[in-house]
Amino acid sequence: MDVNEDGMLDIISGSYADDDLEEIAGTFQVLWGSGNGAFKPTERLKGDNGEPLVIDPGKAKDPDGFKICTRPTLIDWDGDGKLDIVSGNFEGTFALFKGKGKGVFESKSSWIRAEGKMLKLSEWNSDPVFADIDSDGDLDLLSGSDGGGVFWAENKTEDAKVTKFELSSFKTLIEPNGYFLLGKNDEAKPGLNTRIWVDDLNGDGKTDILLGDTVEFEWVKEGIDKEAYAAWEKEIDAFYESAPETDEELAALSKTQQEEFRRKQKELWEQEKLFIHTASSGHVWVYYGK
Amino acid sequence: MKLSNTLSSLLLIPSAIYAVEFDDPVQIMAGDKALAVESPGYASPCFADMDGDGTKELLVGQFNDGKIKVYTQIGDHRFDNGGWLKYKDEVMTVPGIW
Repeated sequence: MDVNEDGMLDIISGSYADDDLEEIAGTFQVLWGSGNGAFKPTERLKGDNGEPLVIDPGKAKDPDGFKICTRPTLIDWDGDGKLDIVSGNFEGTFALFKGKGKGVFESKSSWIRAEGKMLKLSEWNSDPVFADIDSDGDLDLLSGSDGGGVFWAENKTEDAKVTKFELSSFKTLIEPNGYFLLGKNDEAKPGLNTRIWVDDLNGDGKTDILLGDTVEFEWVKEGIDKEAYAAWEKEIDAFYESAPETDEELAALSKTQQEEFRRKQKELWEQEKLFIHTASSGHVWVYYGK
Repeated sequence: MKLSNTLSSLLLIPSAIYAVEFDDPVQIMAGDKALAVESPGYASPCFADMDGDGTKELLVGQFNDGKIKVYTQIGDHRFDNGGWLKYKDEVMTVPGIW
């Protein structure tokens, strides 16, 4: 996206949390484009007060979740001809930083609302992208989530000739697959923590969705001692059958019993590495529009 | 509100029916393997003409070190093996990326 409107594409990214800040908050990082596919090193985006842009959590009782896991996109939200930032966060809400032009943004954010209340996913980690997903001439808001899938908030404006938003609450566009572990020979499918992009990938004039995810893999290693593996499985089943099921149950045990529980748990986890292969990664998928 | 949505209200058909419908997902390939980011994952794609040559490249961000890989399209949902986005031969990173 051309954040500073200099005719060269820039890359803007959010962040989980910025270690250089005193408060717990994600910031916005820009790789300014210098033309021909080249970019300058990452620079923290600052507001019109000269300080790093940080989402204003308002009067939230637990403000950190509203400020971390920033996930920005740019759009002329208010139709004033200047690009604004709309950012997702851990809580699943959407913050708006109004643009003043040329890559300068107001320091104080506000919340995007729908049907009289704060627009919010039912899942964590909002991930906004704007596209006319229902082909009615206006831009709708789409989002991935930590639980996977794609959700959309329909824009019901009656004046699509100017950029204007009257969003409805979220509806499911692509059903999440839920949590799963992929075995060695399992067929892959889209997983959790979806991050999306909308474009016509194959040039057929239809809207496609690119979707990035996170998947976990787990399978029994080859060439292991099968008797030892069976004994470990039996031992771990017995351990968890008698283990406390809640923190409260664990806390009710004597100090010696708690220490023994943790020692045995750690020992079994260490043994697990001998038998079980675990890994995680992320894939990218395309949903071609019909 | 457009005509299609007005009709959906009158006919009591959920307006979601008018959203785009999609085929089953197809996994993006990089070279001869499924495109995969480093552990722990969090692949974050975008598709844009970064070098202004008239064709769009696929950029995929990831959690680990906040690195970004750039892939060139060689067919429908097929891309080359990609390369890290660099500045003066150094792989660029985004601190605390999500």
